[in-house]
Amino acid sequence: MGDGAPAVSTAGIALVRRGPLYWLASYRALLAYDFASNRLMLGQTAFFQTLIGAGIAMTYGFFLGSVPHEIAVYIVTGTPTLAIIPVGLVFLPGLVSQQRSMGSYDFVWSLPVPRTAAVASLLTLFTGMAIPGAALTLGLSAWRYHVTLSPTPALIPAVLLVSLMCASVGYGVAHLIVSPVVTNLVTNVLIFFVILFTPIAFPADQYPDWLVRIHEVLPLYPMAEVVRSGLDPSLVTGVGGAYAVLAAWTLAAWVALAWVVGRRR
Amino acid sequence: MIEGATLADAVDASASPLGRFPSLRAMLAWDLGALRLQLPVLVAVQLLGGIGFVLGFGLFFRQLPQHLALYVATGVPVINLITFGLVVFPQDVAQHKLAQTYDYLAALPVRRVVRIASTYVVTLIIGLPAVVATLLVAVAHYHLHLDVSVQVVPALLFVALSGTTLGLALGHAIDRPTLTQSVTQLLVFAIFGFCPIMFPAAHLPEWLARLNSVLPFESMGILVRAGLTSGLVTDVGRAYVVVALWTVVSVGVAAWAMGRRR
Repeated sequence: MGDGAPAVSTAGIALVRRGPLYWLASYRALLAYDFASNRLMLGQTAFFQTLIGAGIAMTYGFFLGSVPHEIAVYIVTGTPTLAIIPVGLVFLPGLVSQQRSMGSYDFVWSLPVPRTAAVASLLTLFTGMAIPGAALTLGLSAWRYHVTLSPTPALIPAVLLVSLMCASVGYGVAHLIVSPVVTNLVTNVLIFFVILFTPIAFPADQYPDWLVRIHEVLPLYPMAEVVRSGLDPSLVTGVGGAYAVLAAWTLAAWVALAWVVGRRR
Repeated sequence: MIEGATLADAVDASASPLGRFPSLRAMLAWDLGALRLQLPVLVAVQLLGGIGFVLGFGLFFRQLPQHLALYVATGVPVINLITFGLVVFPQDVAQHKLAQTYDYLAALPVRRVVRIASTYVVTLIIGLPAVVATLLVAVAHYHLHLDVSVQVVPALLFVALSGTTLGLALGHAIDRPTLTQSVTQLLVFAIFGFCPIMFPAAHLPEWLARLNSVLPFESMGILVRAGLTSGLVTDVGRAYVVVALWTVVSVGVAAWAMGRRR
């Protein structure tokens, strides 16, 4: 009586466990799982993002004393990027190392779903998760520095690409993490250091030429460029190169992830 | 018979192989041994971080005005001295609580004051090289003229002590490792951006400036700045009182938290 149903369903699953439709179904299920298991983090993330993004924006003002309008525009258009960076590069690696120590990481990879769907689901979640906090940060800093912005439709793909790249690189980095305490210190210092030395919230032309060259191929400065051009196109020229660099970093991170995913059994 | 003799040897300082402060030497050897892998990284991070800050500020202001450069140069040493005690050390304690080695350390036959003193010495070992390097780089890069007085020595030692005891109080009193993590990260962020250590307090909104006048960090900056410059700060006596009060309270909280029964 009871043994008919399981046999039928097992056969059914065995039949469809491949192909794009199965991948899509797995992706949807995993996205629901990831969203549900991290739902408490969503508010927290927006809170910390705003704290970091708006905090840094205000800190620049404190250091300067009085902020001229043209500097204020740079600060304000840099804040969404400042808010997106920690989500992919700090929070996501943190979550992965936490999942590893709790064992839920291996659990997800033991599920009968394509591993690429698991990767895609986490990347989707973190790409989306960064956006509310970035918007809030932008609003706060625009209000603080009395800056009016004229965003263009290009802002939407810009923010999505920036957030996706950040999550992809961060997820790749998460697999390199071995010891939490030292890594924690290093990432914290690195983030400060990187933010300080990267022209995100101020013009790049006050940098030495060689440093700008380096920043053009590293991921953070192009992030600031594409977001800024979406908020005020007059501030940025030649944004195509920045899009190309971001796309290249995203692809490189995906290749690394594919290698990790394929390697682990 | 033999045990009695050994105990007598330990009490008689001159006869102990560890010298006048046997338990401090032993505790210090223990602490440095526990940190042996991290120590080079920590010293390097402090050095690079300090120098990076000094140079970084010059980058993001087209032209860093001389008086602001002076604030940055004399403020970064405070950051160098308190980061380990206030941020890394509490996280280390939290890690011990998580790994359950905390109780083992607490059970060592060492007085609490000795453990505090040992942490203080470690803080100085990690922080002082960075202070010297930061100041040298700042002076060379911004062509600053510092007016160094003897006063800077007690100021640096006192600031490091205060930072260490604050960190000890946090690390030992907070029992949830994740909370320690969040609190210290918020703290380091607030110290960098919202406490007038590397910039004048007049740049802050008034309520924040007033809040900072009772928090220890601005006062730490005043103490160090008073020893390195002349005419830039006033009311050094008040700053000493503020930092001293925080230190006393922190030692009290740390001693209580280290000694309570679990």
